[in-house]
Amino acid sequence: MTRPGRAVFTLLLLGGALWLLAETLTLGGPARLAPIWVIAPTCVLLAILSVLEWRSMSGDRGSPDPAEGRKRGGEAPALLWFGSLVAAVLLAGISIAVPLFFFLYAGLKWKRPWWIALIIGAAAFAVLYLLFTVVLGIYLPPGWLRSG
Amino acid sequence: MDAVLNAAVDGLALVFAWPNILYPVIGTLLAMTFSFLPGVSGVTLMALAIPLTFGWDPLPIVLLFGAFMGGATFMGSVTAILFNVPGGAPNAATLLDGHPMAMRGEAKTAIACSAAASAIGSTFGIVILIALLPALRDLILRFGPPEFLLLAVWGLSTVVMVSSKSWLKGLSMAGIGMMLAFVGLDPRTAELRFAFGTDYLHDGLKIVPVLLGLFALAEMIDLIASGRASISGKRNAGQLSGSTRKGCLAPFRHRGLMLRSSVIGTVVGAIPGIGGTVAAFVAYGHAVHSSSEDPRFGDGDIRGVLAPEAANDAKDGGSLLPVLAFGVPGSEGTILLLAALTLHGIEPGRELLADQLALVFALIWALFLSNWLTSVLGLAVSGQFARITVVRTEFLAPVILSLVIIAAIVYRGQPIDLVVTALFGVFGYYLKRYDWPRVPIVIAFVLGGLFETNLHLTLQLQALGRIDLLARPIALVLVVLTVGTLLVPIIRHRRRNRPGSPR
Repeated sequence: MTRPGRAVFTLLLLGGALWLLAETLTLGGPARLAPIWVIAPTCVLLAILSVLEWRSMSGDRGSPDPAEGRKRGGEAPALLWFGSLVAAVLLAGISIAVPLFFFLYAGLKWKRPWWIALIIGAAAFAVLYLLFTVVLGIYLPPGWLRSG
Repeated sequence: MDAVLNAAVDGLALVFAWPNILYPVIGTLLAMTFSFLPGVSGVTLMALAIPLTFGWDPLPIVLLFGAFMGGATFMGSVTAILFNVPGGAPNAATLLDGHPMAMRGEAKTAIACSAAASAIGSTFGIVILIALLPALRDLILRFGPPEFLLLAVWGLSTVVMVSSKSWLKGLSMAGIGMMLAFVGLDPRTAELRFAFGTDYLHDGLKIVPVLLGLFALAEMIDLIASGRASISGKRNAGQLSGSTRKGCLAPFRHRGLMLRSSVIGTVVGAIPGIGGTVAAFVAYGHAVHSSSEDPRFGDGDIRGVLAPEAANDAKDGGSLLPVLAFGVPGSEGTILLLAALTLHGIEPGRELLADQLALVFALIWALFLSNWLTSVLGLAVSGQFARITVVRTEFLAPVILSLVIIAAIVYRGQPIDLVVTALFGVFGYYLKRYDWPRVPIVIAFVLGGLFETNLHLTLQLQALGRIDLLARPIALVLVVLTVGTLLVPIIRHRRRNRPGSPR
């Protein structure tokens, strides 16, 4: 069942819009002209949607949808893998983080032997290096740890 | 008109003369390859090519850059159909129906339709451009701030079209998109807005991290989280139901829509600063408006692929007009084209159109040839592209996820772009999960700056008493189009829900 999630998400959007409205009100006259015309009606629309979501939530007390249950089960690992990759790229740079990601993903998710995972990681490094550094000459930032 | 036709023939002869023909062919292949690589678009390719082509004659430059422009457009729609990842903002209209087709196992039909619509649309665009050349020149000169403002409003009104499931949600997402466009310095007073103490936001948010996050990352997180076996949900290519023939024939079956979308693309594309986004969404909106038989827009209607793709490729020809006639570029691609032309001594303006019309046509033909070449190649490999939709999620998702993250960083070499992409990725994922439309955010984000700048200019002109709406026919037409775009779906909805009406 995702009704509470929907309603909470709508409320979060409304909160964000109200925050932007408050920020807009601190701006000078000409700078806030267009933003105020946009964010004020957006807040009203989101408030209406929040009310509609909460009303439908209170009227919908059916059994949970099994497909949604599966989705929730896969959501946390998906966000964890994604968050870890982003953090690793920011800290260690693409040329280390992406091969490391493939090495770990091949070993843990694809359940390949570690020596095959190592080859996959090395191949990822080779492709990145050859394509971006050698062929295209594009600078790949080294990451916050390596750039000091 | 005779001079124009003679120049068109001379231009064609220049393109097909040996070894000139190699430039558009190589340019197209490079553009197709580059636009499939993460973070390296056709625009990047043009930027890389400028210093490499110093000392070249004007003709090869014109042929190469024309091919770069044409080659990159089509590939953006392939990624939109396959992965729900638009190559650029104009391709966001294609994903509305293209990706649902891929999820039904009809990626081959959608890609073939996109390829055929691109080729035919670009042909229409060029024919319309040649036929309307004198009139379009006059039309462009009549555009002032009120017309630009109303054009932005017309583009924004298409939000109603793309949010058929909930207008309230669509409009509120458009509001959020507009607010994202207002981040950075105010265009009139240079006051800093919504930067929250960061230097990064001084210049505003960029479209690439927003698009990558909202669509590409969000789709991949959703694909992993949903546990779907593959994009199409099928295990092998034999289970796919798409057909190249059906996709190729779609532009002929819907030839009226095809022609009208091409006209929309050419005319809207010719207006500087508007670009393909408005053209694609207005054409999509027109397809929704004009459909009477069994519409399934948003759930994988082939007309929802055909119309934006025809407009998007038809606009390429039109977008050359302001660049060549007035030296006014309307997009990043045309800015680089203009830079390449002026660096090689080709000055846009009346003299270019009068004295070097054959060279101008060589550019137009190179663009045309490139559009056809990408479409033919696209058709040839549509089956192979479609096979990607049966690749198992556990193998596809990490590869795409890595490519998107690389794209976010390679785009400007700034790691902070990745943080923005990631934030939009999580936001986009939850929008998708809770059935909030994401496309209105992109439409509003792209048009927000145009809207605000011209709102200020129009208000200033109004204060000076310089605006008489009745003396501005283009503005009146745009008002009528906007009102029509907003009202027609409401009227249709009411008619459909009237008791006794056929469903």
